Amino acid sequence: MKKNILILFLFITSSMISQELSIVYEEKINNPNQSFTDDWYLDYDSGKSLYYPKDEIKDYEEPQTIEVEGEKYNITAKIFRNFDIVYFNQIDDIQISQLHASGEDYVVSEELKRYSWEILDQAKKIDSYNCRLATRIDEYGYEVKAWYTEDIPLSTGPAGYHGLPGLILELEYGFKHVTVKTISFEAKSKIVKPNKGTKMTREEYNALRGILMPKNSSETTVEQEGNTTITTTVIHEVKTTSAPKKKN
Amino acid sequence: MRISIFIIFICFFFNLSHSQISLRGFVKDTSEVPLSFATIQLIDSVGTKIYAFTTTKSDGSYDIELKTKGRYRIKASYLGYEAQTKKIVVDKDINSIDFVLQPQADELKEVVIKYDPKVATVKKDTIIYNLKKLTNGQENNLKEVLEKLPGIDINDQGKVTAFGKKVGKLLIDGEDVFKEQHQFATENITADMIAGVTFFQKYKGFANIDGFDNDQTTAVNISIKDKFKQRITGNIEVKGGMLNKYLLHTNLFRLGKRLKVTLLGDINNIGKESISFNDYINLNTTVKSTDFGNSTYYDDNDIPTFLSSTRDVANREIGFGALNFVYSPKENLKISGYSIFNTTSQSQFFLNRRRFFETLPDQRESKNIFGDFIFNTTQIKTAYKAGKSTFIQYTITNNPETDEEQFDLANDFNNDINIFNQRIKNVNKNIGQEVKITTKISNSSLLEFSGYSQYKESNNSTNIEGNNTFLGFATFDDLFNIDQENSFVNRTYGYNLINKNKSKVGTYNLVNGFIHRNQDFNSRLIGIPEEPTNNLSLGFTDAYIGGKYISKNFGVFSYQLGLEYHYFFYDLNKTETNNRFSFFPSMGINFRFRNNLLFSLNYSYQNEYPSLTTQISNDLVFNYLSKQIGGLVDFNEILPTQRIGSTVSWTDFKKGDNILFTLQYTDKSKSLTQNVNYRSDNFTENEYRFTDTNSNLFATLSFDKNFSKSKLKFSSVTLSIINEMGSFINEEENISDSFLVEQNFKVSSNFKKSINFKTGVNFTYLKVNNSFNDIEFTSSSIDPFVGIRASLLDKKMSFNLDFISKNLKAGDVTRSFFILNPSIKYAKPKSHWEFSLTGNNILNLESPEIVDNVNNNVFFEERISRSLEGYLILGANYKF
Repeated sequence: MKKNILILFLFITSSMISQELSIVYEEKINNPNQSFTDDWYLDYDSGKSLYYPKDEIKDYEEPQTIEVEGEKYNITAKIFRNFDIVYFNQIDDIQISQLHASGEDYVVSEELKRYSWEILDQAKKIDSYNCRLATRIDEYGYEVKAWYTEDIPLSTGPAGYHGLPGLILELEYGFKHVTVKTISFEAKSKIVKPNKGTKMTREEYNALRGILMPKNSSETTVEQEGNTTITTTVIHEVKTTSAPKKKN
Repeated sequence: MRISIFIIFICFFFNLSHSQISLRGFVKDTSEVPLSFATIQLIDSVGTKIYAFTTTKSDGSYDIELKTKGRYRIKASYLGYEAQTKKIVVDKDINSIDFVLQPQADELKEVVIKYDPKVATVKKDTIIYNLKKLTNGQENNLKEVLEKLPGIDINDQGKVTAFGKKVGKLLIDGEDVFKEQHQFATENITADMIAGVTFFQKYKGFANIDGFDNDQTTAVNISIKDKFKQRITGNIEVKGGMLNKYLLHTNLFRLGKRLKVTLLGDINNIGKESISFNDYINLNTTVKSTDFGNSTYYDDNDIPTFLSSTRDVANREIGFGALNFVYSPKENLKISGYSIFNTTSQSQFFLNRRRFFETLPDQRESKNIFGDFIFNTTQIKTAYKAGKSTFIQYTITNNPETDEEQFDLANDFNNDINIFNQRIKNVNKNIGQEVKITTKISNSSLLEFSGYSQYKESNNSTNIEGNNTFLGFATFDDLFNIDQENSFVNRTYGYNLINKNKSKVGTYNLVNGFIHRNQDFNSRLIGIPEEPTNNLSLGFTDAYIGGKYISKNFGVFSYQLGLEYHYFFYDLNKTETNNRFSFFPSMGINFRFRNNLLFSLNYSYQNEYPSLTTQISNDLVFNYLSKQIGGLVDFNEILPTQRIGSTVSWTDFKKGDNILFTLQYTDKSKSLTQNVNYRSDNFTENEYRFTDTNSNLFATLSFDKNFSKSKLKFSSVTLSIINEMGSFINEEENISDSFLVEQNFKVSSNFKKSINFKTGVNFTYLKVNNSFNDIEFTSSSIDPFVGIRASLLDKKMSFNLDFISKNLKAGDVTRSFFILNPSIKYAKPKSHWEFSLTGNNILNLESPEIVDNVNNNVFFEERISRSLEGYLILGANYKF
């Protein structure tokens, strides 16, 4: 107890008062083909935050049967889990995203994105927190729905979204639905900048990934190369296949 | 209506020097420490509009740009500090407001967020129930799960209802496996097999043609957990106990994608029935799947006693098997069917006291009945979709049936005691087939053809032996023995053609068709002089044409109007031919507010004709006490029926509260009745007559109220029937009025853990009055009940106890007894075994006596009968 008081005293005298937060969110992705559920952390400390998965998210392979124009094919689909680890620094106005896409990692450093939100008069309670609904249309034409609470007056949130006068507790975006599980008012770990992957600018990344994404988020393309059919489904998660075998 | 404002995330790094009006200041705490990343909001006086917001810099400073001067509120908040709001007047270009925030007294700790989801999600015409919220894991079968869903219920006939109406289809993973036998599914699908429940207001079936709603109905779909699919799953249950009671039950399911098969089997002597009265009627009446016009026809259907007697059976042995399947080898082909086999042996015991007139002494009767019934029904249906525009279906049914009853009777009238032995046997056949073709003529027009034929044969033999004369018969050589042989053959065929047309203002259907019936009735009475016979025949044709208009929805309102022209002609006994015509109108209106408040009102008019057996000229024996004699009923008489009905339902999907009100009034301005002549040597002679008094009012009101915080549910069901029926006694008119009220109150809990309870009371009151002798009779019952259900050892063990206090009163006779149903079940962990001890009515292991009051319009009967004996059985259940 004495120790605590001493630490508290030290904090005050060093004139550093910090707002700290560690939140567990649940991300549910419901593609037409697959669904995933993962836990993510959002750590916040005095203007800096990091959003990262609790457990490592891995790509994997899965046998599938697909039907193309009435013919069935057995394929091994490589399921790439695409996700973004996002770091915000409001002090230095920096946002660093570590983007995992098609099995590769990229790091994009850029100015903090400034989002314009439309705040609606819809309200609900999440547990005991009074929440209000805010929406925005992103640059790809998707609607983003965010339930934020002024009861926690921190302008941050999950999945790279922020910019509301309170913490975002629930977020809906495309096939993604993020809900808060626990809120703890102390930092769980030190906030570090993500740095794994090839460094590039946002423009370079978009060019590489062939973004802009189509507005209709699911698209399947079938290419025929000799006897080989290559089916590529681009959803929120990207799935590609290689050298499928024709089913007899 | 929404207040919407655009707010811009104005970052503090922006240089705002170009702004005209600015609001600046510092946010510090009580120790003068600057608070960085504090939130500053500029809001309206009510606090609903946000004009602008920002966060403070590292030195605690902020700067907000404004477009207009005026009155505002400014709010500063910081985690762990009390938020502060100040009223301000912005009248200068640069305004300065500082904040000093107080730390919050409470320390902030970790919070685990609890969601309070809705009990159901409503999407357009679909309701997806949230089973996690609505169930507690103590449910045994589908029935117990469905009964917890708002708006969904199981009615007295075991059918699944949604918002007061029987659902069109009960689907298992999208397939109509059980057809009309909902209780096979609700009783036998275990709760742990269920992954989800969805209600569809507009479910489109296999026969549906795109663009038309020809096979659109309401449906409840039960989705099955993956681990119960694509393999044989189910259970075998063996139970046995005191007084040689036993039960052997098996459910086998194979719910694959293409083939879904279920096999149910049951052998028991505890009286557990697998088929109900209404199922029997549905299975055994007709093959035709569509209504052929609005006409109904009096069919003499004998209902086996084992179905009409429920509570007055002393003991009963049942053997039952049911096979149901749906097979879809291709997407456009579906073969489905069922075969149900049921045998029942039962005994009944009655002590009756009958009163015909005040002036006559009471008649006393003791009656032992032993019955054997065998019933089978099989249906195979093949459905094929030829392209997108044509649907073809062929159905064949076969329902053989035999029932036999032996009566041992003693009758005491005026101290004159007579003994009788009566045997009745029925052997019935019923074979039918139907072809149905639906085809799209154009994008707005659909043609539905249905043709069917049905053959029914019923052979009845009655044998009565006595120690004295009966029914006024002079029997040969004083043997007091008669035999009666009846046969009834009914051949029916017909077609029905509907042309459905869509237009901008709604749908109009044109209909035409005919039904032809050929009937032969023959009876012969052996054992008395002259051996009286009846030989009747009838050819009856109903040809009709008509239309029905169903409006589109005008906002919340829609309506329908129909009119049919029927032309009847018949040939009675090949001597009397006649024809006539009628118009059958029908109409209905519907209101639907916000998906959860529904109101409907319907009216219809239709005709019936007297049945062929009304035309007998010689005696027809019912039993040792009554016979039918040749009547005065003209076959050419039209018997009109008018029906008016209304339903109001309201559901709160968030809480699960529900109110349902239904009202149905039926009036028959002319209908068949009997004139009962009481003969001095203690028997009755019945003659068919017409009466102009026959009306029935049926009303129900039910509501469910959920107290979500206390997890309690209150439900109330009120049922009321007012009936008025005319008859004749010794040629004098008698109006019989009856009034029935049933009221059930129940409070039940739905805690996720530990113990749950239910308690309430069932109350019944019946009052009957006959105008002829001005006798009034009442009977009532008050049955309070308590039930406790507990699960222990991580839901491995469950305990159930129901206690009912039965208090019956009929006239001056009362009977009271207690019913105690305890059961305990233990599921052995990590095994397929479940063990149970089941008690039912264990305080009455000998048949308890019950009392009833029966009014058959002519006499009152005070009836003491034995009801099913209790049992206590030990069981093992193997699940796989």
